[in-house]
Amino acid sequence: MVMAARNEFRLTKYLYVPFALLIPAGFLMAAGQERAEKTFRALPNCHIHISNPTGGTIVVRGWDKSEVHAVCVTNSAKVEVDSDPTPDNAEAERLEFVTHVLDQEATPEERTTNYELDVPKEASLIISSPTGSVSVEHVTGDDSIESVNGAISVTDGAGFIQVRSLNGDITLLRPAGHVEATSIMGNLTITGSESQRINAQTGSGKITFDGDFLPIGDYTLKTYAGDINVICPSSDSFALDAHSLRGKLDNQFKLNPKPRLHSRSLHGASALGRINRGEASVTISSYNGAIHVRPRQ
Amino acid sequence: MQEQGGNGAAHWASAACRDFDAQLSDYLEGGDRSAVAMHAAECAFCGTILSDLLLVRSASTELEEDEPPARVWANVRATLVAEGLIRSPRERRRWVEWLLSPIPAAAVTAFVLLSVFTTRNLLHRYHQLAAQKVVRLAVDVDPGLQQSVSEMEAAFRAHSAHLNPTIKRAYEEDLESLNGEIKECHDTLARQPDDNLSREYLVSAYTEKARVLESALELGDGDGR
Repeated sequence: MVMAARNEFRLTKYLYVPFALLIPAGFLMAAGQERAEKTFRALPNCHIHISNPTGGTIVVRGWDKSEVHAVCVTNSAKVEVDSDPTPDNAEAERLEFVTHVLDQEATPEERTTNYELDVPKEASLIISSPTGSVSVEHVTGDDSIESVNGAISVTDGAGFIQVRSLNGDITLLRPAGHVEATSIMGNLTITGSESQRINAQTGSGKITFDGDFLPIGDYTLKTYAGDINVICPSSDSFALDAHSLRGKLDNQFKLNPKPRLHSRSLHGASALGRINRGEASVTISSYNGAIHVRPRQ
Repeated sequence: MQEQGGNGAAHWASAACRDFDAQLSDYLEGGDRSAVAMHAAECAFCGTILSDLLLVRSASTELEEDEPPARVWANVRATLVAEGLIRSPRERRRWVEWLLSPIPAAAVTAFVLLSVFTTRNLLHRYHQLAAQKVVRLAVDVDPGLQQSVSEMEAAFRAHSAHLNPTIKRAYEEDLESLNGEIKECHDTLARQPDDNLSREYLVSAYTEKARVLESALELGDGDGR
């Protein structure tokens, strides 16, 4: 009997290997991870609020359905996610997701909650996630996203994009709406911009802008200590007002003088003038950082 | 803007001088009006006008201060109009003829010189006042804001123990960074009170600090611990 069992083990032990590899995942779930999945009927332009003060990632994707599909995974039973649609008996105009701590003794790791949502692409979002990262893709409504340490990325946002992460990096890919991006120590990266209005400010982080300055657009890029790199097509038409008090200023565009445009400071380095017809307004300033403005090769 | 007729009296060279007159403003504002300079070189009267205007412009830029308010120029213009020195082109021919007679010519020359020096003095006085205002603003950056920030910072220090240690450290780093900005801007303004950019950054740093503290205090009231 014993031998038979041993032989059987010998015969089948290699078959167990793939199952053995799955054990850690199953163990983690058993150790307290809880997964909740829900689908809500919602208006195409519904408002979605997510508040995740305990940490964890948030991923939101826009889709063509008039539904919100949410998957929330908590790291322990010591936290829970409340979901509250309004109205609750028809297509939701507003949906709220909030992470609550049930046990104040829970460790930061036990409090972590991850969200993954598919939402109508015209929805508007208000997201607060102090420590976790936030990623939003293909949502064309307004976005208001706040974090302290988490990175924020918004891809193909077309509404009013208001993002603020004190220490995390902010990445905006192909923004088309009005952008307000602020940070203290994080880097701001704006790529493929089609926005007519951008206000990006950070303290010690860097700003990288690679996109078009559209006619009658208004763009402000400002840092305290971080460098600012701007790349745009040589055919763009804008009035440049760039100033760095203590940093280097490197402008590779040919500037035409612009009457009545005066430097904001008599000190430091500045570049003032029109590029082509000077239609958009571009203001770039740094206190200690370097500024580079150059045409796309 | 004139040429001598057979009897020695001045009369307007209509085409060239009118073009000069029409293009003069653009030329002075940096526009590409090469005809203005060429005509000024050929016509003594227009050349004098251009050189006087360039002198006024040069004198004002040497003061290295901001553009005076529009009302200063409006007052200068109003005075010149009141004195009859600015007239419509149709009226100009008559007074130019009168102007070229010896006594009025001397009076007008004296008046123009007086106006130039008066304008320079006015500009100088304006810039002195502007500089004093800058100093005052630099010293008095919104005391209400500074007071609020100070109170919020005290509240943050009292309650920060309840925050998640990672979040608390992040806020402390941000505040340290902003305090560094504030100090650097204050130091710069003490040395260069006319530096608008430093003042702009100083106000911005205080405003940002208020927002950071507001965020920290709000988070301290929630589950972010």
